[in-house]
Amino acid sequence: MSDTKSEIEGFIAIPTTSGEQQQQQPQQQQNEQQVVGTKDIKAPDQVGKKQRPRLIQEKSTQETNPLILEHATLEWVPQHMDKLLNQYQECRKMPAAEWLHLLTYLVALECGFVEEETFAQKRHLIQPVPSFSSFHAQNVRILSEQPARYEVCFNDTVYIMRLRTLLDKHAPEETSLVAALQCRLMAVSLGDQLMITLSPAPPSKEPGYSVSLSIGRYVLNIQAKNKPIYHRFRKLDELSYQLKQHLFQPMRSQQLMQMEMKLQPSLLGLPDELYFEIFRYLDKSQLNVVARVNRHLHFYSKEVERKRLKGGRS
Amino acid sequence: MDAPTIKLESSDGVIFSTEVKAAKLSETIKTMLEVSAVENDENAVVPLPKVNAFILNKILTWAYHHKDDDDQAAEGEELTPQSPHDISPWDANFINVDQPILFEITVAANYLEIKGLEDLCCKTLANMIRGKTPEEIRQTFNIEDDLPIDTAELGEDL
Repeated sequence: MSDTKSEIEGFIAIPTTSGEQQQQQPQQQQNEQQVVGTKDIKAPDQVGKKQRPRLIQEKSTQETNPLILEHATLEWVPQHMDKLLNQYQECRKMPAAEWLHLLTYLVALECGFVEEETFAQKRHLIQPVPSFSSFHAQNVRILSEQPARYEVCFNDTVYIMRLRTLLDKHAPEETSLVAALQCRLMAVSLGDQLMITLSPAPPSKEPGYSVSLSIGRYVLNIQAKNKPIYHRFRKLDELSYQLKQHLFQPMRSQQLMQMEMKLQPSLLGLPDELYFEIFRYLDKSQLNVVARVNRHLHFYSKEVERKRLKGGRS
Repeated sequence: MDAPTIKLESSDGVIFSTEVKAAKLSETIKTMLEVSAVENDENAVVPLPKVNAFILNKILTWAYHHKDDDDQAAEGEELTPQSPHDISPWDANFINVDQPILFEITVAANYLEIKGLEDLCCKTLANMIRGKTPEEIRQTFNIEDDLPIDTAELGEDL
């Protein structure tokens, strides 16, 4: 049995059975314990914040509106985050795991992914995304104005979303190429953990990627009155890093390789002059090591050595 | 008196307002301003079609921090660390980013011709390479070994 949420028209109360009612007491006790735990955790966080001023404080002189989730604070959140969350104002009782799933979706948008149905409806408004980059501010804002479309299965413990990668070409003609751009995002709630998996669409045999996140670490179980929903979220910089590093960036790179497109900038795709700038900080023995990494680096490291011999540099 | 500002537009349509002094750390932007004679027009927008908003924001943060470096150097203040391999604490914190972002900043700094930022990125990448074996470098940067066996062992010319 599964429910499909394609439009958020308000919170839908699901009648509970007597069994679920009985289970509510243990859950309430667990929530109370979590609340107590949260209070205990706050003090070290506050001390940490005072002891180590974050770079974002200096950024406040340069910007007041963060562009990505990683830079969100209690005072300022990215526009796309605000837009998406505004659509769930009446769903404050949504499970913490589901909120975490929505945050995951926001990171996916930042990494150049889009929900498939939303893409089909809004493709005429979406701008191409170069393969060497993934973040496109306008695209992210447009897509965040649409509700996240996902399936909720297994007593609200599994969330499934169909994603595709945005590229500099909107719609490759070949079916196999379209399939290469598709993947499935599945989040399974297991106690306090949310297991998130990003898998390529069949018939691809390429590997998927997964990460396990502590729900309570990123989404508090308490909601203060008259406060925006994002006040429940914590450590968004860490969350963003985990999701990008373990799910979205490796998947996007994998898809680009399947499409035989130029990858995101890497050590193998830099302008020629940059290799000389990098390698000038390496001595001869280090250049010899680099020469043994692969053919590409072998060429440039030998070029640097030749230039040094000509110029008398060591 | 407020410092003169200029508007820069990223490839994905976001407009940033920054001090002209900071923007001119980029030789590319400096040339654009001189050629188009819009330096004194605060309503003018300089397009940067090869830099997205996120990366441009990072770069402008760096540029704003370093916009007075030349003045301080002229006054004899010590700006750079002693060793050419060392990186200042602020720069180290700034450049502590994911690898894909580091490469994007590197490419953008090259395109914008911001010498100091390009040096910072290249120095950081060199530090990531130094002290590693070939296999460790491959793992760090996700590189496949496509060298013939004998060449890989000896590092000889292909």
